[in-house]
Amino acid sequence: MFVGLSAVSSASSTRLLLKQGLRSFSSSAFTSMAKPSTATSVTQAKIQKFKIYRWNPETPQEKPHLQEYNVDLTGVKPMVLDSLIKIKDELDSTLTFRRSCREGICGSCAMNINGSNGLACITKTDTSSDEIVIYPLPHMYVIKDLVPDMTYFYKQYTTIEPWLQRNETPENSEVLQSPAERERLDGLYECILCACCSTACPSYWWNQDQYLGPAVLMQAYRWMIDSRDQFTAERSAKFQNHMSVYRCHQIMNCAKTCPKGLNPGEAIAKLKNIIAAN
Amino acid sequence: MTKPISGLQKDVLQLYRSFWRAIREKPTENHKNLKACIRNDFQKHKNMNKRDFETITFMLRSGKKKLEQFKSPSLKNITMT
Repeated sequence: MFVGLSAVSSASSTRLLLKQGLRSFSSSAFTSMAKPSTATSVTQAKIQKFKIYRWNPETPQEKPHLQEYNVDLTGVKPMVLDSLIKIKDELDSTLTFRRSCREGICGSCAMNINGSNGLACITKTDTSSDEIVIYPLPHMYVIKDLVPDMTYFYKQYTTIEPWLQRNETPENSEVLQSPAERERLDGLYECILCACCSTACPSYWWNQDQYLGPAVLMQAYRWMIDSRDQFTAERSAKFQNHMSVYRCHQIMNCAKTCPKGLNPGEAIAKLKNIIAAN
Repeated sequence: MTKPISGLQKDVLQLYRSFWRAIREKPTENHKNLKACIRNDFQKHKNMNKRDFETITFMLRSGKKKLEQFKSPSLKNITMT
């Protein structure tokens, strides 16, 4: 029953306690104690194969290719970003990717992992698969390796004027909002503009120049239904064309891929209602 | 007879012309420097394989970005060393 040295010493202390007429409670404690292991002291390397998209703008004649990395995942934290950082630290310092908060709030590390868009920092490394294939966000111009050019995406975002617009502002006070009015923004304001949804949308792939894409449209809806915003009519007037909104065919890849669990498709459907009513 | 130029070639020439036009907005005394600089940038890639479309379109895109920066009024002069 007793294993190891510590057990012997505690057995003697138990005897001591019994002598003093006190109750011992050691029996259950022993079963929950971790047993010292001898066999696993030599840990086995957990090799995981990564295939990562590489392209360097300084040598544009070289075509983009997938580079293979075999990473030992022992002691590496579970997310894909941790593995990427390990590759950059120990295997290949030329690998380029964006990362910042490593907790899914900045949206920098959005990339295509095993065929679906997500944030590398909150996507678990799928150790059951033979290889993990990582591409930059699809249908975006690549700046280098996993870094996409987001300029146009941000330009589209500015066209919806994502700020409060009012005809008059109260003097020396804030624009108040009831809890119920605030609640309507839930599921919308959490968007971090990582562009995972937009770049997963086939409509956005083919009409990137004119269709605004789910991420931007969801924010457009967010500002329209904000109780403090008075420019709903003006905002919806901007969308009275075939391309900006109506390229959304409810494919719903956006909702499926959103790393924050939001539903841009639903927001666009509601946005269409507002536009039709105005 | 000269060969007709392709759409891609037109785009490159267009870009070159836009740079030239942008130079007009800069101080006259720096025109010589700026022209030399732009010409040098284009000539660097003179021997690019003309069938390498991906590379050429990439260079065009980055060129257009540079043009945007170049047009900013705060840019007055570029000197090559």
